[in-house]
Amino acid sequence: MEKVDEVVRSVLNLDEEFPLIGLDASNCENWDSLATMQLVVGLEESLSIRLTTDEISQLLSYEDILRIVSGK
Amino acid sequence: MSKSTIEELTPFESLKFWNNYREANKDGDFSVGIFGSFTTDAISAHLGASLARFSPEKSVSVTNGAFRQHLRIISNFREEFVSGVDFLVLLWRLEDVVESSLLSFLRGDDDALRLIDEYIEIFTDNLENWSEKDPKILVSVNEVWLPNSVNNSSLMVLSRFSFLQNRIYERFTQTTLEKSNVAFISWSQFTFSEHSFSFLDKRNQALYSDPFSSKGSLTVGNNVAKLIYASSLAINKKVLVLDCDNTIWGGIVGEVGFQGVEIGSDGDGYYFCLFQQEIRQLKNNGTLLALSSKNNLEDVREVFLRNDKMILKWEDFIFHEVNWKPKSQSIEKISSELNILPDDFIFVDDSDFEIEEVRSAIAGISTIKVPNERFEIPGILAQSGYFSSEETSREDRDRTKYIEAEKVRKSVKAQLFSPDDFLNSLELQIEVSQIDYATLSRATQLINKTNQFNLTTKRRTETELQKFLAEPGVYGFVTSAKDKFGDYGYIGLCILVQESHRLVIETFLMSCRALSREIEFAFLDSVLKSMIGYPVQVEAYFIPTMKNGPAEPFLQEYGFVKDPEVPHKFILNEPPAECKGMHIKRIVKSDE
Repeated sequence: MEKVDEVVRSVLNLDEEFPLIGLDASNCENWDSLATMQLVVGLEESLSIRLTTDEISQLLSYEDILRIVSGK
Repeated sequence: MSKSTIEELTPFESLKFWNNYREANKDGDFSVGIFGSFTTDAISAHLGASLARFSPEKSVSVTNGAFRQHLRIISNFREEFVSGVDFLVLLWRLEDVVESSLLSFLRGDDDALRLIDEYIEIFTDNLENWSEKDPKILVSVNEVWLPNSVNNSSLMVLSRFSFLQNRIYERFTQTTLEKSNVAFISWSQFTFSEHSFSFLDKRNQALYSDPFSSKGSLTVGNNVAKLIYASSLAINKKVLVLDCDNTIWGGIVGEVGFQGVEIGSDGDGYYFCLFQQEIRQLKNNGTLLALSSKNNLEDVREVFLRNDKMILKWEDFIFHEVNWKPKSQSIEKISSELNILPDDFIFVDDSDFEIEEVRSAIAGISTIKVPNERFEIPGILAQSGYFSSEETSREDRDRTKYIEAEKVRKSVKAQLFSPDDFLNSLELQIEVSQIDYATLSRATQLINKTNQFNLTTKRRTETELQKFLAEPGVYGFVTSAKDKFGDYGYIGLCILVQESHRLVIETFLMSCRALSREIEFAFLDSVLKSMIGYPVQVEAYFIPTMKNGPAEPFLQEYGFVKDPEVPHKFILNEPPAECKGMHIKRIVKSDE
């Protein structure tokens, strides 16, 4: 989980104190399509996983990310 | 130090680097515009990250053009990149733009070729127009890939595919080969050495219209950054100091004699031949060569004079420091005689001891250790990043000639009674002209390379300089010089900015090869007197750096006085009637 947090904070430019619970594309201005692409690169590289197109299209919130990567 | 060999990052590390860098560098000194027939966001981030790391002294920005609008952007890129760009990169694939025609042709429909040809013609016409009206560099990267939806075991498909590839290469290379500002590059040039991962990713194509895997994007970004760095940002080292034994030839000449050293077409000698060819090419492009070898002078000279396999000749080297002194002493002597700082030197040797001795004694010098494996020696200079720049001016290419002429001048100076006698004997002449299209590139080179005699050390890219000179009240001048021993080329630059009743010397610099001849006085005096009619006070600044000490006394020697209220500022109310450099004949070309 630590690795996921690191990727999310790095891509969305959030500091250590910023709460990730409840974070989603609609309440984070840095979370655009480019950020989603970077999240995918970061998650795949850090966790050595490969996400499917379906899974990527569901990456809309921090909770979605946790749910999808924990199922890999 | 900037060089084109940097530590490799993973795709995510590269994206992170770029995100942080972009945040801290909002306005780039050097800007790249990138556009294509597919999403270029990932590649542009990697390109930016690479370029920023290659060239830490410049801040870099990368702007993405609109998606799939490349034909429109080529015909009017200024509308797309309104804030201006120094370099343009176009990435495209035929299958993105004429996919159905491409598939039809590969499946046997000859009529489809007409549509493909029409598209290629429009594209090449646009490139042709581009290259004629704009001096910027555009790199077009493309290649036809075999689409997944055709049968790749069919002989007909494969032969039609080859036909199409050749047709595109032919059309594009015909258009771009003779143009110095447009390059046509195939994707495969980036990928042939990358076998260990998948370059393409169908998932990314489906999701983002980006055909590349994350490592594929990184590879393209890094490689395009290398091209941009080499053609626009890199500055080559000026002096290459070479050891002899086991460096430019194999073996130790003192032990095996001039015939016994390894050089030639057989065995390990072949690799030294290739290395000598590489060195020769650098010399032809303006790098000065010097020998520094712990040997008996006659032994070394004999190899050059009597071994007919040698590519390099004795006279290719401007200094032959063959002795038993510490190599750092030899290099310091060369640096002092050439008036070139050690920062512009590369020292190449096979011995760790010699490399360490030179590095610890001479601050700023760069060194290359010759690899133990002979086959690894060719290419060590090309791959070092110290000679990446493809930009060579006439002044660079003639550098060895200037140095030879300078040696003659020094021998004349030694025979004459006083420095004034020497200066008068040179029969110096300068020609001052405003910077124009023909001199812009050399002016940019002077701005970015001159360290020692440079009042303000302001660096500018060619685009920045061009823009600056187009502003009202900005006047840019260059001077060339020659004397009875030879031509120095363009060696000085001055930029003046007129602000109501004052004239500010924004940049004033002189190449180190022309120092100690009072040319700087004649140049500034000519420029200021050519501005007569402007009711002005002249202001100048000397901004000290670690290297520009030689320029410090100049302003006061010419007649400026220090402004007691503003640090580094000097004032001149009127150019003096007489100044140093009056012996120099001046030709001032008026702006036409």
